Amino acid sequence: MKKVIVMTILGFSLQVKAQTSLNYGETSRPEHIDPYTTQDASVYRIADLIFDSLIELESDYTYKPSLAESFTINDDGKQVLMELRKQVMWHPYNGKSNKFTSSDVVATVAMLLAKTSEIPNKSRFDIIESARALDDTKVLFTFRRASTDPLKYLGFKILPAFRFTDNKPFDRDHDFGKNPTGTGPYRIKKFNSRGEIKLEANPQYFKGVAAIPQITMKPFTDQNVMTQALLFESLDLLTYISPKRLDEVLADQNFEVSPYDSLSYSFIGFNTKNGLLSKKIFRQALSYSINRQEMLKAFFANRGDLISGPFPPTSWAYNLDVKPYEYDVDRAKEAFKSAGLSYDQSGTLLNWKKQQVSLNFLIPIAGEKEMNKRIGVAIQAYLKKVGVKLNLEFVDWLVWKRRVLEERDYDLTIAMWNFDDAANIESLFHSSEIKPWGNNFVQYSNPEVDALLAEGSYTNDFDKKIAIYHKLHSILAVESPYLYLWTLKHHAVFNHKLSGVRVDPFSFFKYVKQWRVRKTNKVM
Amino acid sequence: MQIFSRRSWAVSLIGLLLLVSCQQAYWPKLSIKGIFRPNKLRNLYFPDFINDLFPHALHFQRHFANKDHARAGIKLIQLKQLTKHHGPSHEASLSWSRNGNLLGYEVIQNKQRKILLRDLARSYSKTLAIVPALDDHDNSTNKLINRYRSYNAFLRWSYDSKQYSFMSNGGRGNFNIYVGAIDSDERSIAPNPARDGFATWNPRYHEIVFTSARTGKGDLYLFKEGKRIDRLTFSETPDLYPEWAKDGEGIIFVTGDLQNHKIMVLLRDQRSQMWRKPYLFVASQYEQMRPIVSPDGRYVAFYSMGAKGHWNLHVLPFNYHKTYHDRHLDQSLIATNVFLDLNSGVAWTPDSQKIFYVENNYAKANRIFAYHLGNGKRFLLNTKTAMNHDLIMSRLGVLSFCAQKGSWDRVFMALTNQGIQIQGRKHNKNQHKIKYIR
Repeated sequence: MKKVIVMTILGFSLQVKAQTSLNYGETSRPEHIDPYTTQDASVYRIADLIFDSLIELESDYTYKPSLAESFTINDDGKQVLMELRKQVMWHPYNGKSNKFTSSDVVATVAMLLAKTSEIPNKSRFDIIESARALDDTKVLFTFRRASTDPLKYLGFKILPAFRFTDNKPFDRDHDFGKNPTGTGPYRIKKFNSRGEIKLEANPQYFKGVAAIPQITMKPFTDQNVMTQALLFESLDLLTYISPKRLDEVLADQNFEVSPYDSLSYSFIGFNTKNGLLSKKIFRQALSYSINRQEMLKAFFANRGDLISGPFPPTSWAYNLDVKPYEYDVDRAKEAFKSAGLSYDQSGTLLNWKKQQVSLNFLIPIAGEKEMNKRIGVAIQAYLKKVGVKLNLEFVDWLVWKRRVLEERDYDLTIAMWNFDDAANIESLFHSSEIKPWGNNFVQYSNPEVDALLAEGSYTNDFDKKIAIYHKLHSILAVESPYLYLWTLKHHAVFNHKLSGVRVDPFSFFKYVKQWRVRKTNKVM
Repeated sequence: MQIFSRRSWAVSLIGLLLLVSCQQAYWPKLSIKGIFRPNKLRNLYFPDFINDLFPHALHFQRHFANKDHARAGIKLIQLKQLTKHHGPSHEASLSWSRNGNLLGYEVIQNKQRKILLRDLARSYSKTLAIVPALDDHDNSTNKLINRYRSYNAFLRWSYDSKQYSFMSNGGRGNFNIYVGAIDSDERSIAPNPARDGFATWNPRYHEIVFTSARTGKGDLYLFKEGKRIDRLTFSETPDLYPEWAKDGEGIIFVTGDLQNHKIMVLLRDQRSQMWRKPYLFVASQYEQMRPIVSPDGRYVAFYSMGAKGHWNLHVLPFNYHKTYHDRHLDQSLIATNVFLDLNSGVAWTPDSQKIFYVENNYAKANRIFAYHLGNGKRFLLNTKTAMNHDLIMSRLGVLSFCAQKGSWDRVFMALTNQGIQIQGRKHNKNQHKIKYIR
């Protein structure tokens, strides 16, 4: 009898580790957390857990109040009145809990507009003329010009005024990033020396306490090693998995995959002021020469869509009637001939001097260096088939910026646009942006496109706007200042013990409050 | 009529001797196919199947009939692509059998990841892909089965090249280790609902170490035919990439999480046959990854994160019970800024004297280099291939690797003079002194 009792006790003692927290992996190690002074996507994601915005964009592209209780659009879209929630508390700071008020909103806007603030892509806030507190719970926003959709400028995260009373410039060195205070569903518990960031559920969260009591962000050096940590259950979630590894995860019954839009598209930029590249027909011939579908399959496991113009297919501005260039070597060769070029007997494409057509492809090497190199090698092989010699030049990111954005010293280059407002392409193709460090680094100039961009930007008639942007799409597809490549789907991967997982492309952890972790007992 | 005088006979004989010596010295220019071929040279260094696969092997053997000349330096004799007929899918993750006759690699066919085995000596091939048995296709399970595609990977060979192991989800989403042989089917050796992977054969015994999630966060387990499965590690972090010591009594592996992975060594007690608690191979502030034991068992090559944020390549002697420290890392550097290849790690030559690795120079497309440990010389292997990875060398000196051709990764084979039949196994004492870079 004694033996049975002892065995039973041992049996129970082996059942340990009932885990209800969530561990997720990232491949960068944030040293500071605020939603503005960095472009690191891992910081944006963790900021979703800590901070809130006044309004939130829903999946049907409408806005829902968040820190705001309601909003009113006045004066044909030149002013927005926000009425704030009354019982929202900031995470405790120095042992004290402060109430969220309109002064926090006004202080945040002041920081976003301050010349001393070091915020990448700060110009996106320039349209806000002022934010004025009418009382503790009312803020009136005034814009520099009327807009059909002024709410889209007000989805930014709100920071606490009481953390910015020192008049120090808001940059990465600011103390706030080391110990951020928010109103969000989670608050910082610990930054540890190994780069882990531990968060605990905010018990005073105004939308209700999140179900998962603790979330830990774990940084890894290598995406493949991080994937192994997930597969062997040291992590519960990866916010992003490389397409190369996706099949292995999909083949495992213990894991689920959640796709989300990457909010970016990739393209090959043609320097339209350089020799043959100034000819539309030559650019079109190059577009026919490159098998984008095969590259999408080879490098991204077909997890994305080919695009035919400068918008993502999910955007209202995307013209579905415009089809992407098909891979067609014969058509490409015909187009090259139409451009005044000829072929010799070996299939080499010759210019009018009877020299082989040779182009330089400047490829930036930064975080995704492996992929950019691979794309470069593939495009070189495709162009070889149509007799074009492509010289690959892999350069450091800073060198790329100088040579492309300032000196225009390239023929072809590869780049990617990330967008929050996918339809805003004015800076990419307007001739006024052909200036050092301007976004129109392909030096594309077309008076008709300039006029349409201006008209589309100022009209408040949404139907008219759609028509204008569809026309722009059509023109820019034919003109081919870019070879539009693809927009990708990203994939989050998680262990089956997580449930209720839903990922929002604009705000990864937006629905985290509904996520659950099933208790698992492992025999240790 | 006397056609040849005695004097003219002598002149003719001298002329013939001169011609033959010319044939030896300048064979490629002067050879008359089929007439003067010295058949004994055909198999001087390479077996027939290598000669058939690589026609330049014959030229090499004629040029370098002297073994000292043949083994000097690192010579790329011929490069070729393994197969010419390809579908739109990548080839990856190579594995040579220990005798150098069989090559395995992974490929995606019909949406399944399969392992293809090629017996280069017998023109024999086999496809490894575990799919659910027919009787599993009843209505109740059909939905479940169809959700998962067969995924098979990480092929490794037994010490006698008669058996192999790999991991497979069985077409059911449950990753287990399977064992098979060329002439027989595959069977699961330690089935469990949790994930198993990284199975590696003991180089001396019929034992397999593997990583399993069955009891925690990826621990090492040992499978021995007819015995129970032993759990070898109890760490809080996943234990990955296990490799055996040459004597089959030690296992070196990686453990850790975050940006802090370490190399550990696990030893078997000779008396009790019990496995001891693992110890650190390198106690360092820097992260280490993917140790590969040299064929002679004397060294371990591994990646270590340098202060500049690049992976560096190091080689340290594999002495049981010894833990190295940061100062040893500084002294054991072989190459800086290398490509971290987790699939296969670096490739040792069979004589344990040289290492092939891929550089991480951002301006170049991942070229292959070799480092001679004895003299500190570095060689660029001029394969003219791009985006090279998954390097592994057979005992006959064939360096196989994957490289990008068009948009797809393909298997390439580079015949070199680094085979054991040319370089030999043993070297004098001086050759075992490693020349590190400073």
